[in-house]
Amino acid sequence: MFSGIIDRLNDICIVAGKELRHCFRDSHVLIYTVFVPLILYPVSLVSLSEYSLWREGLAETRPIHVAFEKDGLDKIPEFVAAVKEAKRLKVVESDNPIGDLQQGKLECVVDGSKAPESIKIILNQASDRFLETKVAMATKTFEARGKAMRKALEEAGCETKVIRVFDIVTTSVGTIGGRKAKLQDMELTAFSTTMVLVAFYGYTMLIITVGAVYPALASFTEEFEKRTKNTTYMLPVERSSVVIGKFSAVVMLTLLSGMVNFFSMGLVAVYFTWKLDWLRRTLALALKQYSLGNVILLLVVFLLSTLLVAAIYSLMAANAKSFKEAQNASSLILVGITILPMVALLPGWQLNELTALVPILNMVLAAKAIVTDSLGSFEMICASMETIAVTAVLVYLSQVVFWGREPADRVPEDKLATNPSTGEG
Amino acid sequence: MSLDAINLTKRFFDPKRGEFNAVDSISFSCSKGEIFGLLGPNGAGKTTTLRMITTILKPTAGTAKVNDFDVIAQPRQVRKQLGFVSADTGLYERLTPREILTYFGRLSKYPKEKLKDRIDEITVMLQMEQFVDSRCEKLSTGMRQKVSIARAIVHDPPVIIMDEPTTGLDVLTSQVLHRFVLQCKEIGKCVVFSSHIMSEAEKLCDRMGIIHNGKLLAAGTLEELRRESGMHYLEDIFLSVVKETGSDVT
Amino acid sequence: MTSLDWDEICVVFRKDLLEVLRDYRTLIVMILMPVIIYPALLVLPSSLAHHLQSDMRSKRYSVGLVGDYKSAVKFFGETKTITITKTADEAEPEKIVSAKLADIVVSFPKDFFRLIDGNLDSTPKVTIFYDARKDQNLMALTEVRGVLNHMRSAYVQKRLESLGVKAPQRYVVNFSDLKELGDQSLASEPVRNILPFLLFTMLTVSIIYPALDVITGERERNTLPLLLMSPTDRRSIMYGKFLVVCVMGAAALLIGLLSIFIFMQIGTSSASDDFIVMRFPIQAVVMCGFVALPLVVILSSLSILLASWCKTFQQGQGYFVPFLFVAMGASSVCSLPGLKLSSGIALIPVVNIALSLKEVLSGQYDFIWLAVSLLVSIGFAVYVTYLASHILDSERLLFGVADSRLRRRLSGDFGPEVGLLALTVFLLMFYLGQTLQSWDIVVGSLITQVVVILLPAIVLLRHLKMSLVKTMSLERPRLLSLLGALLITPLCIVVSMLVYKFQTGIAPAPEAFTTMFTRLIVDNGKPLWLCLIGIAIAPGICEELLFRGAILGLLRPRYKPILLCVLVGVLFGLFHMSVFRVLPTAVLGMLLTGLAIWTGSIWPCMIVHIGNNSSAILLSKFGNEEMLLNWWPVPIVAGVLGLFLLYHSRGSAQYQKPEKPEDEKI
Repeated sequence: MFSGIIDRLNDICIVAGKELRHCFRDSHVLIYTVFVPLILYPVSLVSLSEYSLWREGLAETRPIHVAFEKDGLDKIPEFVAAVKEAKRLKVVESDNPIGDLQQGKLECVVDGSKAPESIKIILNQASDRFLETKVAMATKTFEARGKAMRKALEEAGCETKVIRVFDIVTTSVGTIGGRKAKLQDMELTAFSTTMVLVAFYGYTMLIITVGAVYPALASFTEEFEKRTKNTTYMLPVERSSVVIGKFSAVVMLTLLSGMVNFFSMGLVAVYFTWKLDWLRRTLALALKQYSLGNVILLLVVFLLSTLLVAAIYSLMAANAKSFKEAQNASSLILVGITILPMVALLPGWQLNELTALVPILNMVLAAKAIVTDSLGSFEMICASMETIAVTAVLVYLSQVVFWGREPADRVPEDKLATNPSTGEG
Repeated sequence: MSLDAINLTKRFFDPKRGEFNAVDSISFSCSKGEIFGLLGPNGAGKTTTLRMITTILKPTAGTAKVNDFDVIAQPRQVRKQLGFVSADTGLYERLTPREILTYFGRLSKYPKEKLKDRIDEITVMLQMEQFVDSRCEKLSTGMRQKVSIARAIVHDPPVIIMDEPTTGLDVLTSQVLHRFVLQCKEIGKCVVFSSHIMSEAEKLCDRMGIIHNGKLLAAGTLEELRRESGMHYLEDIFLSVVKETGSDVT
Repeated sequence: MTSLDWDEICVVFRKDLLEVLRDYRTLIVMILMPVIIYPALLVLPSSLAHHLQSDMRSKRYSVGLVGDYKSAVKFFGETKTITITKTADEAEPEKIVSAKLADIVVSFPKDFFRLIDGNLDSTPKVTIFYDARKDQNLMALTEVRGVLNHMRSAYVQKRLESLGVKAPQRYVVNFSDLKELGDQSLASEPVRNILPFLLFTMLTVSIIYPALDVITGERERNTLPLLLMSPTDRRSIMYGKFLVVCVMGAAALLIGLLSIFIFMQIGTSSASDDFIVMRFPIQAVVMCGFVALPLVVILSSLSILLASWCKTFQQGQGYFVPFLFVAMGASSVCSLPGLKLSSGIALIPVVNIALSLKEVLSGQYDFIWLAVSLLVSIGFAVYVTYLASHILDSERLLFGVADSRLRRRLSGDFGPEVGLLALTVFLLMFYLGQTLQSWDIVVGSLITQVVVILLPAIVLLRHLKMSLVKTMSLERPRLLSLLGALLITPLCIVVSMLVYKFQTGIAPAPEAFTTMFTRLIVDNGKPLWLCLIGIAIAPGICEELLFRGAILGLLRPRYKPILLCVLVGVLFGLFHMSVFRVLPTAVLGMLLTGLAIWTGSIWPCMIVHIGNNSSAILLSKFGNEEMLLNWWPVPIVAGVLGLFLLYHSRGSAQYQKPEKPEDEKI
């Protein structure tokens, strides 16, 4: 009994070892698991920052042109002053502002002739910078309002304190992330949860799926395409050992790919935060919330998700008859798996007895619960057990699907007869 | 003369062996109504030779002439003269044999108006009526080979080149193929046939060349080869020729 | 060259179209999916969020008030979404929240209302308690803050009246747009910015699969050799297949636009946000269809080229992802403000279509530039397809003819090695170089030059067992060529300056960038000689050894001089990792490469490079860039003289093939 288990483990190890060796000799796997992650993050960081600098430069050299209707000019002095002070806005004189606006010479015309009841700001939908102008003008209105108020107070000889009346302080009862630090700010909470959910979980699922696709396709469909399935079938090992071995190889490669991705992204993130002060401060504030226990819990969630995703892809690849077919299916799954985390972002979704039973979603919600430190151990155990159970079922199904009922059923006789190798040289 | 290989040479590179001649100045010829067999073990250079004749590999040195068209200088003319059959021929899985035949017939410039009749004729000749309108993905190996043959001859080429066409075929389908080769000879085609199966060559070929390690070791009719080596069976002749020159090679 | 055979193209087209259409499973997954899912992804989340928001607005939150809250009840009572929960007066607010007696508790200090009524100087604190772990509470928090702000402004009004201050005029601002005044735009701004991105992504995904199927598929199924054996013109095959991919792309475009249109209708009917208007009328759909057709054509040709390079579908899949990223990147020009086709972008394929789309949708377009970008696109597509037709015959791709590393190197093809070198330098530069340089611009730059730039090149050449002197053209130069190089230096500087000036039309550097740049180079507090060594001389030597030495030496046996100039120049430009420097440095790199090829030596390049870098330092320290431009006759005369000298110094040394690896004799 006991030796039987050892034997099986041994078989599984042999199969997994072969698949790993096979994958590592395949340049595609190396490129995807090691090379792309190493290059991708620095390149995207450089291109993103260069792009934003380019945008910045264009915006600086092309200020938003604003014209005032002449007869309203003296009715809104604060507004005019606020616009004139702004770096990105430029006040221009125009005899026919509406005409110029239509021709695209201006981005915006301010008609203050009916002030203070109504100030009309006319924009051009056709302009490139319609939204930008709209936002800028709205901010300027707000600024002008504050300025006018302060001026009135000054004229009356009052301090501006008068209009503060009272201060508002926000305190959260619960703590976020497990460190007993209280969050003073709702923005930070929101930032912390969204960051982890979108950035961590959405991204994690993406790299898991991307990392799992190729090893799964390589180890399952190649047996079909290279016609090695029948020889594998004849081996004196349990049929399930073969599939479990392949599955373990897929899991290991997926984990490796995930690790390399995290490492490379971490390096870039460290580098980037070190360069940008504001980002470092916010990130540090958000990261400070996590206790070691919660980080470990997040890693558990990562591991469980990897298992599940690897099982899904194994089943898909085992079911496919060719690489191309598996590829078609994989892109559908990719969309499905990466969209699910978005559901968890919606407010009100929480890990409970019911949602703990939905695969993938329960892992996302568990991550959310860990981040907000509201994880119930019962729900977590439920979700983990469910994930493991689903994984086991999927692996079992892949075994059934992969071998079929009888090997002869799957491969027609005439296909066996075809000898693919006649190439020379 | 219909086909002439003149000192065909192709150099390849192999990490273990370094530069080597996969085909080493091979010359042979095959005329109208003749079947020339290219015999040799796997890796001898048969396929490479035939690929050079069919213009899809460029010879490192030497050349070949098909109906006096040069494979290097006039590849397009050469291609018009050729039909090619091999065991690992791919078919368009999602097309029917009729569509494949029409496609290649049109591309090989067979007169448009006669093409339909020609396809019907070939269909009858190769007994493909049953499956000529069903998709290739559903066909068996034997049927596929028939489609391959039909595809090679749809434009009625004067020269037919067959690269180990019987590999992987059962006896019955091989039989159909052999009959077809002999038929081609009767109507005056020039057929070059490569094989590693001696009995097949014995049965079909008018003349044959024994090729090993890229070199053409002996060529002639079966009688000539028997006379030279003093042996009767082609298999023995082949072994003796390979052994004889074996010392030079290694 | 013979003319195209349209009959052949037709035959190929018909057959491949039939084949693609019969593979309906792939078609559904690969074409319908992106075409329907991407627009859905665009619209559904926003309408879902909108729905949820309105749902949450209708929800009522229980708010507990603690402390001196009597006068606040009025304000809280006015808000519909809030119900005031009765709490024990002495209860601790945190406990109320923890016990879930109320969603949120507002605690007022003692004598709160007396204080704010009477004492103008006091600012008492109001504390809000809530449970941040439940995201529904964020909405309640917003509501409560709203009520408190409302309360505050009521008190401000009251205070001002009591002080006799006339409340300043309230600005009531109405935004209106030109629509009623005859606005010509076809779609609103957010649509104009998103649509090109969406179309680019969608079409790339939809086009690549038919392309892989008709070309890589032939390779994989082993039908390509047969096709090549038929007397068909390679160009006919390619153009036939190209047309098939175009047709599939056009179909995807049509379905995609319709689905975007439909989803936008659904999205806009549910969301009534008037700050962001999503307007995409049917006229815009039609116009988009026309303008995006060149995109279909160009993407088809590029995918055909890509598919021709692939031996298997797996490989195709691998190349596809970077291809998609590039396409998505190209569409990002649409969100750059103020960029117009007329600024020269019309001449850049792919990017010009993104911009055309935006200009047409905004109704501010110029027919001439649209026509230019259309012509550029079609010409580019035809050329790319023609290029692809040459790859079909490749023996390596057809039969996997052994192409070992040694053989490749023997034949003088060092492409992969150069790629590896460039990537290594990039990664080192990214992690190490930038860190070192921001630690200390002069010393850091010095170390960077040696460790990041020079060392990899030397290690690679040593590994390849090639002679450093010969590969890097380090032989003793002719005196005449050195003198010539010295004389043309000002001209080179002026040229790269002019290029920089031209570039500012498309990509002007923001102020922050230029100030940082001058701070680094000029005001770094280092003595001038140290600056010159670190920023001018060391780069002049090390960068030359890398680009005009190792990279040029490795690429030289394989490419023609013109192509070499472009390749090495572009690499040199990209190496500077900055949009604002890429063009001038690329041009300088091309000039230097030309010089290296012409003189057969790297020393003249070092002179020009050092001269260029030191002039940048000296000019920004002691004068300005205009100085050199104002004195333009000087560089021109010197340049002409220098060119003359260089022309005559062209001796036996030039254009030597670098020696082959030594001990790999066969």
